[in-house]
Amino acid sequence: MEALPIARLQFATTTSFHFLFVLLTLGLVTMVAVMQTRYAVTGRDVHRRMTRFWGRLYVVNYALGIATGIVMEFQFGLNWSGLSTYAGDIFGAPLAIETLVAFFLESTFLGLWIFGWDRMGRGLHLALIWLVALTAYASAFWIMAANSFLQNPVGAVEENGVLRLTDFSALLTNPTFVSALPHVLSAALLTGGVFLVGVSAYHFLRRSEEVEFFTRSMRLGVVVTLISAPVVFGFGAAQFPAIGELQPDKLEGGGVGLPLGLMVMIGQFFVFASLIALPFLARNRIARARPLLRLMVWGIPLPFVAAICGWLVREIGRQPWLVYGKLTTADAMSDLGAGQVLASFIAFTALFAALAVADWVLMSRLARRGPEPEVPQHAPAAPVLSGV
Amino acid sequence: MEIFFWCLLGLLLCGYFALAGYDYGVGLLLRAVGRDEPERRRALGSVGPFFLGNEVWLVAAVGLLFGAFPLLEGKVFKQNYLVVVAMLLGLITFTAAVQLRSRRPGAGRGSWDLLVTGGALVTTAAWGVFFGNLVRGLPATGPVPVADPFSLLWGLGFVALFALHGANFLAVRGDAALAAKGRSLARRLVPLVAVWVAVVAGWTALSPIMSTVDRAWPALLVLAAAVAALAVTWLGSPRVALAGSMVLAVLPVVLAGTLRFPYLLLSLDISQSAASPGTLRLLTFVAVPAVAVVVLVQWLTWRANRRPVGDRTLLHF
Repeated sequence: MEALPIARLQFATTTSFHFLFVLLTLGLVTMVAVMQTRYAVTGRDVHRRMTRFWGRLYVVNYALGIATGIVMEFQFGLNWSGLSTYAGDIFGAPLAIETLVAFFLESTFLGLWIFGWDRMGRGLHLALIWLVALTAYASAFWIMAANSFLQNPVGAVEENGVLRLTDFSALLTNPTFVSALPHVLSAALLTGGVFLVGVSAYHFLRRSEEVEFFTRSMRLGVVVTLISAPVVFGFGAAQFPAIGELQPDKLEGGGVGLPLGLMVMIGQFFVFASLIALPFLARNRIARARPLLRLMVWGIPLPFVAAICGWLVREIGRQPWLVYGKLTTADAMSDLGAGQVLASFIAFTALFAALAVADWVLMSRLARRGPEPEVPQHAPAAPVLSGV
Repeated sequence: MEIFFWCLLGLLLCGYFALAGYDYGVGLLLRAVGRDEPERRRALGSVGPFFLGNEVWLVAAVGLLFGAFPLLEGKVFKQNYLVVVAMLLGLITFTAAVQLRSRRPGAGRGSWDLLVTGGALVTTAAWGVFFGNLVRGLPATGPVPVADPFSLLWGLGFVALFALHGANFLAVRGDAALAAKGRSLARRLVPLVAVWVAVVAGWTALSPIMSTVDRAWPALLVLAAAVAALAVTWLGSPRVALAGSMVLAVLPVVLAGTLRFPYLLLSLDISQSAASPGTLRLLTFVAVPAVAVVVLVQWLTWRANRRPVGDRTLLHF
């Protein structure tokens, strides 16, 4: 038994779990920020309840995003110490910026937002959710910059067998970065949009009395899907010239074909599906179009499937390189016994799988229960439970 | 420049142990202080407003470690492989369980509570072993004993230390009943931690560990600080005691960071492990304002939420 394939599988598993959570987190926080902005402008109760309901789902999902993210971060040092030895000087910079500026601040702001309901000015509270969203986007920005360096190592020269940073700005104009970032960000928006549409459709299927609530949620979801689907598709296609030039054999391997095909199909599906759904928004005919509603519920997992496929294409296609053309995955691996790596792989995978199931069961129960009643009923001495 | 980043890294780690340390402590004591669900909810509610901010000090520290000391990061984690894996498993279990346990009204919470306490236990014990290994001295390469008695003693000591920190926190932010339980637990834990400090100090002084250290005064200073902090924790009001256990919680970081300075591992010094000057300069522009903003925001959060848990307190976790 060899350690390398297990370590690779472990990285792929951890990242896939992490990606499932952060993608929805990024999409949902944007929707929640939009809803809360509407609430701040109109002061209407329906917007406030929307912010709370969708915000609660976002907060649950965020918890697992952090947990898996911490393992991602430690894994570089645990299993891939060759990467930090060889390319730490460049790869480490965006990663450190991500954790310090984005993640560090994001969690701090989110804590304030959760505990700020009804306790701070409406404007300040609104500013906090936008700060959370902004720092979440900054997180994605720096992680993608770091990943893009691995795809196409720019801005660095090799000295005494290790890479040294020579041009930081090159990291941010990296061709493998500039088209991949909007692709990933719009994919996150698409995921959030499809989630809104799917959950709202579920409540229409159950003939929920919250017609206005879910009509508004549905409309936001369809519009976001309509806008983001072509953008995802466009920026996905826009990556091919850069790939052809910089990583010519990326799409050759057999492991890439299936995920690439699946991702393209799902992308096309959402472009058409959102166009079909659009006319049904008028006079809320969508609430009565039951076959369409059923399709929307089934559509919830599709963006996640496409995202994992996209990640597989990007990463399998880079093999056998970890830093493309410079450092192989085998050379980057720490010299570890296969037993150690296997033990940690099994333990983390089992824990993540259990947490993912717990998260989804919890999310689906919260989603099914629907929003709180319009007038919250407080028992006299009951503790004040937070709004999200 | 490397020294500046070494200090900044130390600051972030100190922030993590001082703040997340009481989260773990409250997690360890959750079932001991809370007999029924409302009581447990209030115990978790006491850390609630700070929880998300506390945990990320570690993420920031590891990010900075990767950016500023890339060579050290790989070596120190690899040398403690199974310890770090155990710590992460505990940390994730604890973090996720605290955040998810109260999300569904009316649902059973028994197994979530077990995960909270178990996760906190594994996390603190693993951190103890990790710091025990650092204090004992790690070779930059080569095998490291997994279950060294000296390091295992650190593991046990950390559990007592962070339980004390959690008890002190409950004494400050718990409602009247929780605060009383926190104070009485702290009374019992201070002697335990004092014994641990004494045994570790004696063991270190008499063992070959000191032969790998050039100068003894950092260790003596840390010991003096530990004795002072223990005295303050024993004698002071709850708030002063909390400050005392905060100092106790960060002392292992200070000790590991200064004992062999500028050597970090037995044969790896600070300039060998640091990133290039260009990268460090870049990180300065980012790290300093980011840490400043976080310190300010978290201080304001404390100011707004320092009063004991009451009927009007927002309970989220």
